[in-house]
Amino acid sequence: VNVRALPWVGAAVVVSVVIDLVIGYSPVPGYAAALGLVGGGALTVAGKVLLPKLVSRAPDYYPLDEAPAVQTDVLATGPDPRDADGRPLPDGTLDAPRPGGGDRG
Amino acid sequence: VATVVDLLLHPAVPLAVAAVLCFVVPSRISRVLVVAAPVVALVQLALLEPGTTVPATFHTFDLEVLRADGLALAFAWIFAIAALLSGTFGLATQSPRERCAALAYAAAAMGVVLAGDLMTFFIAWEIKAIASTLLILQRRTGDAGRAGMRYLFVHVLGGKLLLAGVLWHLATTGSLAFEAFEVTGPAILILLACAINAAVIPLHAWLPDAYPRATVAGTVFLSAYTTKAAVYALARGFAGFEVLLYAGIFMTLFGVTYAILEDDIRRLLSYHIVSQVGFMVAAIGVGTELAINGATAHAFAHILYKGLLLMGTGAVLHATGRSRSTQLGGLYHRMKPTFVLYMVGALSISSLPLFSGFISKEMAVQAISYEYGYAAVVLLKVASVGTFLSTGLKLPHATFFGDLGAGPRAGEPAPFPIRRIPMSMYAAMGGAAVLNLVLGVRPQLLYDLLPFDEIYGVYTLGKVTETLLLLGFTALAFWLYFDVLAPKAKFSLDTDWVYRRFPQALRGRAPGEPLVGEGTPRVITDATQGLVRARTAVLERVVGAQAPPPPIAATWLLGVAVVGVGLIFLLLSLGGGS
Repeated sequence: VNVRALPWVGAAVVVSVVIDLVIGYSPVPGYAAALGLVGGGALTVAGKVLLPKLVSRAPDYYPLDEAPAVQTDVLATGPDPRDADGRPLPDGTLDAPRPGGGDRG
Repeated sequence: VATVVDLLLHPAVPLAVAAVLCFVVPSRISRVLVVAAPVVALVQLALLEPGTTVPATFHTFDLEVLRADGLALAFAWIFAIAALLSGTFGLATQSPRERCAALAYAAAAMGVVLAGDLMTFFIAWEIKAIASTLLILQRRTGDAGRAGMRYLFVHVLGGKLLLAGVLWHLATTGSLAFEAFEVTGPAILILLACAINAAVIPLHAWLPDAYPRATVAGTVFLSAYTTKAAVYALARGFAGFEVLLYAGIFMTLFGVTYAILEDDIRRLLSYHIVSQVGFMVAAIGVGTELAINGATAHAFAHILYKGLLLMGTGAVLHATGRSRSTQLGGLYHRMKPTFVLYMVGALSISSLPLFSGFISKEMAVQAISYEYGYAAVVLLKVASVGTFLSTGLKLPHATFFGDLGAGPRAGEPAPFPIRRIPMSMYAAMGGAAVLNLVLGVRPQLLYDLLPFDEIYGVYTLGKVTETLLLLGFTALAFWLYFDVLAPKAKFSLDTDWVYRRFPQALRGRAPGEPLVGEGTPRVITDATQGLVRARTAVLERVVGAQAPPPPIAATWLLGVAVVGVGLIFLLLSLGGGS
């Protein structure tokens, strides 16, 4: 959990409870806040913590069906980007690795 | 008996004619046809009087090849609009053959929703399955070919279920009229066929398998028709079947959970199709007039915003050649218009007030709440939270920002090439974005197209405030769980494992190794090689594929299932006939 966000979240919950009390639409004050925070948390835990244990595999799990990193067949045709003087920019290779690697996980 | 003039009224006709012409005319003329045909279809729809029917007789069967009632017309309108937008999006990228398949697919879908009898419905349904397969195969890569064949076999299986249900229904009732069904054996077979096409869990895996593998424009076409034609069929025949309510709610949650896990941006959006169709299926399960209106409105809005989202991600793929979140990022400065247009779709699907999804989704959810109370609504709201979390926050952040921030400006070096996308793509995305906003601001335009008068006035202070708070706290949740939500370069298994990997696992073969090999009786080897040669010949003939043909193992289990079910139904039909 991002701790820096916690004070802001706490303040926002208080504001949302007040709004709900004033408008009187929600079944319980803080209903939408609870759905957003708890629902989002539950889905994050389910989708990023529990489910991966069951279903996450390496990208080449179906080796024949793994899409290439750069799908050149659908890539726009035409010259690579050039600078103001018409010189090719140094990013001209299609398979140049992203800085910091591919996997952010 | 229908006359030729009567049949020319059918809005599928211009699409079908254009599809045939695209196969023979030069490429530049096919560009005109792919835009002109949907425009003609829209004009025909405008001229078509609600309630118009065109009866016909085939042998001794009374058919109704055109039935333009409220439910059918709502779907027909959005199908024609989708064809126009998708065709425009593909103007610079689609080949004439791809346009041919796409227009045939749109024509068949139009035929499905305007069919008044089950025979016409079945024929259009099957043409739709074949045309959509050809559309997937037009990507002309090995993985698209294999996914296309899996898609075909799943839909052939669904088609057989539909045919069996229709014949059984005819045998028991003597009628081919397509009206609301009772819970009977034939109705359950037809329901299963519709459930396959609507991607009801666990029959859904064909969708995230096949849709992301089509071309950038092909995926936009695909997102509009197959599942929504099935939603129409469910609304027509199975409104009030309570099982659909539970199936729909499960779809909404299953789809968003898988979407949070996904790395590939087009596969992520494919799971969101499952989730959004879940809202429609759940509303159909309720079956009240308001619920059917909600399902229809949500199908209408969904085609617009999902098309826009897939156009946005398609434009990213077209500009960079990349579709995995982990390989993207830093596109914002180079693709600002695409980002803005994508976000219109993202805010629509997240049902932000003033966007189309708000008026449609809330109508469906409200209809469910009237009948089933808060428990169902809370689950659907959690699904909405997941929708905004992944399509409105995670995907655009990873694609346009990510570790690279807003990325390089024009003329600055970039870590990978970002090429320009054609104006036609901007035009299509702009059109879809405008329609999403217009429907959100002027919901009456959509209400006027709905089959019933019952509507839900969504613009109340309470509802708007609740929705804004919900989305605001979802954004805070994204901030809270930011590190956990970062994309990972992984592939997620789904229920298609049963026919993609299980056969190999059963036989102890390595992944990718064909099922037929050493030790297999010669008669089976010969038959298999014959099938592979025949399939290669057909694929080369139809799509001009340069890649190797899909391996027989990829579709072996499905093929056996299809042939087996066909034989059983043939025997049942013969038994019933005698």
